[in-house]
Amino acid sequence: MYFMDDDRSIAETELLLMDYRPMATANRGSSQTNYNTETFTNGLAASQFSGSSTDEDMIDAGETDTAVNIRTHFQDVDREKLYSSSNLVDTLEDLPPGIGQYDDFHTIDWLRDIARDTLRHRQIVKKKHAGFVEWLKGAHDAWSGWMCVLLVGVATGTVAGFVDIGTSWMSDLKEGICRQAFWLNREQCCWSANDTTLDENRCSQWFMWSDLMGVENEAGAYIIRYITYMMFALLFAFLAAIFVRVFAPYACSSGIPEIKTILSGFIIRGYLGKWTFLTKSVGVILSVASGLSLGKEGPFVHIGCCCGNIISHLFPKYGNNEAKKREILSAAAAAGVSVAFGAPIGGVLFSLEEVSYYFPPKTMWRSFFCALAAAFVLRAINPFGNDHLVMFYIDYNEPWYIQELVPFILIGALGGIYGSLFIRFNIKWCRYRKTSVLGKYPIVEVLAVTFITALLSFPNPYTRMNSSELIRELMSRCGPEDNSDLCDYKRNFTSLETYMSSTTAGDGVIRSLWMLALAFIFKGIITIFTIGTKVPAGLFIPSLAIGATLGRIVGIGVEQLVVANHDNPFFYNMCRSQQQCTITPGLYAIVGAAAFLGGVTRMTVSLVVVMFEVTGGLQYIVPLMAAVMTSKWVGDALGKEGIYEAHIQLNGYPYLNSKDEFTHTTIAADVMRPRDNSPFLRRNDPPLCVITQESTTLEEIEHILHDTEHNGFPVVVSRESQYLVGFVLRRDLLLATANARKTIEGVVGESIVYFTDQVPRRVNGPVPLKLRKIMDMAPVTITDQTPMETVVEMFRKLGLRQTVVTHNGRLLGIITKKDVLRHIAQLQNQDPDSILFN
Amino acid sequence: MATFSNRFLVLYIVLSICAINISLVDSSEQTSFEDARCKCICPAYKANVNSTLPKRNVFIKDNIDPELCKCDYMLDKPDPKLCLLCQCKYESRNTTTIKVVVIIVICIISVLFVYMLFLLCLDPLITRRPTHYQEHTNEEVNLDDQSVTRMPLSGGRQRSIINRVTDEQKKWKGVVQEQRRNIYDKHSMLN
Repeated sequence: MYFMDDDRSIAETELLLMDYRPMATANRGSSQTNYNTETFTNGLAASQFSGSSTDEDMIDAGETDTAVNIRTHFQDVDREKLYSSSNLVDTLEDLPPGIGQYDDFHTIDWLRDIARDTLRHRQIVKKKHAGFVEWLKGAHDAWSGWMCVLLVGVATGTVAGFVDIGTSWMSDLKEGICRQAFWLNREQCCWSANDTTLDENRCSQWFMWSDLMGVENEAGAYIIRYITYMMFALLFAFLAAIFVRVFAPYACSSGIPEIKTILSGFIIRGYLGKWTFLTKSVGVILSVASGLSLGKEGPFVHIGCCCGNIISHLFPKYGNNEAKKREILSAAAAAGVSVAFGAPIGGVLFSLEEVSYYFPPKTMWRSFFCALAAAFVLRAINPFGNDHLVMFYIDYNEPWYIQELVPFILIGALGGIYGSLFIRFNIKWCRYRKTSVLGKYPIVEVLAVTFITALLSFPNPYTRMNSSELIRELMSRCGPEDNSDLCDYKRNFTSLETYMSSTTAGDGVIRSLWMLALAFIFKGIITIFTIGTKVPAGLFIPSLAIGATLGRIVGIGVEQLVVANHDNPFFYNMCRSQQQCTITPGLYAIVGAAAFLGGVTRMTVSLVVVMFEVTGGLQYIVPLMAAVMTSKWVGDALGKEGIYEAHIQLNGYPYLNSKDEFTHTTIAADVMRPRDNSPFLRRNDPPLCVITQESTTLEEIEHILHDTEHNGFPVVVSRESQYLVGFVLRRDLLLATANARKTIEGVVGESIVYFTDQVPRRVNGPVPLKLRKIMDMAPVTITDQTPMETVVEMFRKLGLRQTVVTHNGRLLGIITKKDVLRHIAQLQNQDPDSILFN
Repeated sequence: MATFSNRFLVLYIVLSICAINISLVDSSEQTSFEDARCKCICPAYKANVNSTLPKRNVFIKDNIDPELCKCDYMLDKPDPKLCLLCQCKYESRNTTTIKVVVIIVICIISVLFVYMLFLLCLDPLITRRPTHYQEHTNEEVNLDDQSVTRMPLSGGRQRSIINRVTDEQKKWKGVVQEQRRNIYDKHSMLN
């Protein structure tokens, strides 16, 4: 009873954080386990036991061999203690909510979150044998990861099916309507009609708006179609822009830079929320249907991640732990690409290469499964009615020759040049929008861009059609069913094999070459202004379309060159006779598309895999690889970063790029705050704000919290010695003190806050407050002479939020992720203040 | 109670839009759009230089037995030599899925549109009092304070549900306003 009374006087906020109480060796740990479970029914007694055996602790800790040993046993004991203390009425029950969560625009601490999850997991494993219900709970915990990604995959696939069907229907709505079944797009409307006329894919059921109005006159009909096309384009674009503005501003743009930042360990509240999800899904249908030069593939990644975030809340294991949630988000990003291109493997690789930051094998398998589930559901919905997951799926089996590598590499180089020009101008334009008066009129801007796009794209059939359809047409080979200008070759129809080979171009091909050239210039320029407007907009499809256009032009050129010079020894293996050359311009379009997308995004492996999954042609891997690699080389030579990194930098997101190398010789002392004598000194930093472990009062802590904006405070033994004890986060401190004030009786401003193991018994004075549990006892520390190269690696690999700098064992300063980012920006001669947020 | 009746008005409009859609669907129920077809593509071919090209080289028949999806059955005048090079494919689709999805998409867009009009036009009129924007602080921290102050004073269960919805909506509005400030005013994100 003596101890119990004493213990009750210590107001201890029990929190679910790791606490390495130096307490027991292996024997002691196990003996105590028995002790607790068998003897003690009253949790108070257990906690009394663990809280008061100081002297023995010291001895026991001294007896253990390795730190690892200590650590595991401590966790055992700690878990045991949590288990037993669940009987306590006033400790675990009233945990302040939100411990372990983060504020908006904050960086997460991967190590802490992973440790928290390990602790939780061990608890479940331990309890597993306690009964059937506990066993069931354990089983649920074990499979919840797979279950979660399955649900994410199914949700992403379903939404993608909706968006695909909605988009294709709505884009055709600009031109006309299927009168008897308004829900069908033009292709589906004429799907089963045997009277499909050869021009423009029309049939008797499909009505142009001019037909519906009964305009017979050719010129009048054209004008009516022109006007309705523009009206619908403007209407859709307006709806997309206003929905984004009214319901969820975070739904604008492609979202991949932000997803990258979030996955690297950053919190943007509401970015993956329900309204963003809904608005983005609807907005992307509208914005693609408006005919703007943008695609739905980037937004699919964002939509997938929204599904991941929403569904992870069903599983507390993931919903309440930001680091674990990012595993689900990585898988969701893979599912997004999987449904966007019908390329599950490409999706996994995209997640690995481009978006994810932390990608252990377990996450890879989950991503694989998630991408599979998404692709399966989308295939079941069959949105395009062609048994494939993308509109531009092509089945290819044409040969290619080694000489053709020369034009492929040329296309790759052009892709790299275009990519870097695109990035440069797009960033310039976005920066102009950010700083000038243009940024004040987002909806007007969208409408203006739509007006110009619609006005200029209607006359040219290659820009008028949906970008996906354009890509499909450019990538496909000219078969017997194609009667478009693009396939107007002078064929010898008396031979049955005329479609197997290339021949001289007819007038139609020459005409379409001009149109393609105009489409290339137009799309290439308008995309720069479109990406970044405040509507959901991805840049995969426009880049692919631009590249495919150029590729097709080059392809036709090469084809005609070879046909004209078929007896040239250089082309000896490509032609059997003048009518028997086999050059496929469509293959050049595929290579061009890959090269241009590679130039813009600087992806390599995932892009090639996506392209061959889309085309189903394994034999084109070498041409694709050659072009994509050239494109990356040329692009990297002209401008260092891809479009996503450029946008991250423009917005100043705290993204520590794991692909960059840090090649400077600075040391930790140059970067840490406060710094006194470093060459990088720009202003006088206030002295480091610390908390002492057993002499700070609650009032002082509240003052510190009120006066400063630091996100964490080192805890030291005393101000004189500055020996480091641990690190406590601002948010946790805030919650714990507020909670103590509210719930624990007798805690006043003069109460001394203890971060130590024992609280000295006091007869007089206010009730002390014990906050050891919210303190991180194992902050990552470095010495002031540590090279920054190592520090940056630690931040990247361990996902640190901050590290404490010591000198001779004394606390010297602190380095946060933001400091590292600022330092890197400074070394690259950029404005270090452009790094936003915390 | 003004908000309450308006909510019903919104709901009514939404339902009527959906009803119009459904009635449109019912009136145009026809069987001319089949879910399966056979498509044959034959190369254009002239037996000799003087003869003319055939008018068409794509042949589509719907609702055909998959077994019969062959060149011999599809062409009006089958030519065995030509048929060797014809490619026939049996394809299926699901128009019901397309119909349902398109109608759902229209419904969602209509609902959003009506709700947007409500938010932009009616809501400011109803709620008269100016809503000052307050800094979006951390939700968890002052969650309990809000719930205490906003407890309904009297009334039944329905009243409290409405209050809760209104609170939720108010919270959401604050969040959206904060997002708008970040993107459209401060230009700190998503440029």
